[in-house]
Amino acid sequence: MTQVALLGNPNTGKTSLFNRITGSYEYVGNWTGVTVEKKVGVLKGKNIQVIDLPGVYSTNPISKDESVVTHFLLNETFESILNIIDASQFERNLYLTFQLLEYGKPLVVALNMIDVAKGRGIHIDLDLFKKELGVEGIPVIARTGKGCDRLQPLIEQSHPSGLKPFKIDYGPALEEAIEVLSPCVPEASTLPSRWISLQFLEGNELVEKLMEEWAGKETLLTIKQKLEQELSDTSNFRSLKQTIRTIRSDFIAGLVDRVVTRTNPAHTIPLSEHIDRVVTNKFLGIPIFLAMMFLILSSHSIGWGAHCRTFWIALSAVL
Amino acid sequence: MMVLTELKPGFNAVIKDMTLVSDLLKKRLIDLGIMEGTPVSILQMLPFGGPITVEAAGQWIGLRRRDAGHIKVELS
Repeated sequence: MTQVALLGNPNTGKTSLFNRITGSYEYVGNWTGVTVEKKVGVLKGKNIQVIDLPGVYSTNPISKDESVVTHFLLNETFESILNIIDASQFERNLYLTFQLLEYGKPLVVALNMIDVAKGRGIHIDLDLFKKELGVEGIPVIARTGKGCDRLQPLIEQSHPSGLKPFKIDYGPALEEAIEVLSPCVPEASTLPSRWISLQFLEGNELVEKLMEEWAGKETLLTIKQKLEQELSDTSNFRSLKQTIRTIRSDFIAGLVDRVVTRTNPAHTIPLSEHIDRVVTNKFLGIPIFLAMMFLILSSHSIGWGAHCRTFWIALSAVL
Repeated sequence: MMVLTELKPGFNAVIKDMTLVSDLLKKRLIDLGIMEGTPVSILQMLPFGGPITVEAAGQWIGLRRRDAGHIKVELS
């Protein structure tokens, strides 16, 4: 059965989209080694499995649950990626998209919360987006299901043949290091050597381990040190990770400049922001919190004495 | 040069140095697009040494005051 990986930043509506396009879970389990749910569903009316992965900002993990994604990209077999992004946070979300494009599997981008983005005056030229990145961007509202039906046929037919290879020029020093590192990836492995090399240079620990098995610690260290030496001659070099991030960010900023037109946002402050203003207020915040807790506890039908005790126990637990 | 916690709400600054920030936090901030050169401002500072709300790279982020004190900034 064909498998599609659902990837995106945290809080972009991954699970909403998952529920929209699959209908129900085929099974819920755990990823090996971590207590992170592994959810798999079948695309409505199709013979395609969708795998819901934890939300990450980058394929370079900083915690155990985030490393589930990297582990998945390194070890599992799947045919394509469905990348969901929060259109109202377009620029930040594209960072992961760029890394996934470097990974090289067929990709479809679902631009979620396109209505919120419009409300903030962010308009995205999707034809240009497709032209520049070589992948389809489909506006959706996962909450209501709008646009989700357009995703299904694209997931089905996303074949690598139709994909234009995606490549950012990282400058002579980095490109040379990538060229030296790429042959370390054994031919038998189906992993994309450019993505592996970049993740290695960014300090992705899982990739580092893999590379050490393939090429040996010494060789890798020499390559890395030589690159750092070369880059340290250029102005304000801090770390390889930061250099790579900056180059990617510059490309993303350029793309956003071309693809996004900004108009004046609708001058209404969203309700959630109004509520935030009150409940996170310097002085009102904690009293409101306490009042809420009191209300919640008094809604339980227990005696007044028990009620007060529970309140103080809960309060001391919180503080 | 001053640290982020010395910045008054409403003033804009640029991050100049994050070498004192713990590796884990630095990695996460970089993932969010926040690093040396990024413009920041303070939205709110909670009393009793509580966290601060920072606006950077189009996002609102809550930082521990101790962590924020490790970020050096310059008024812009």
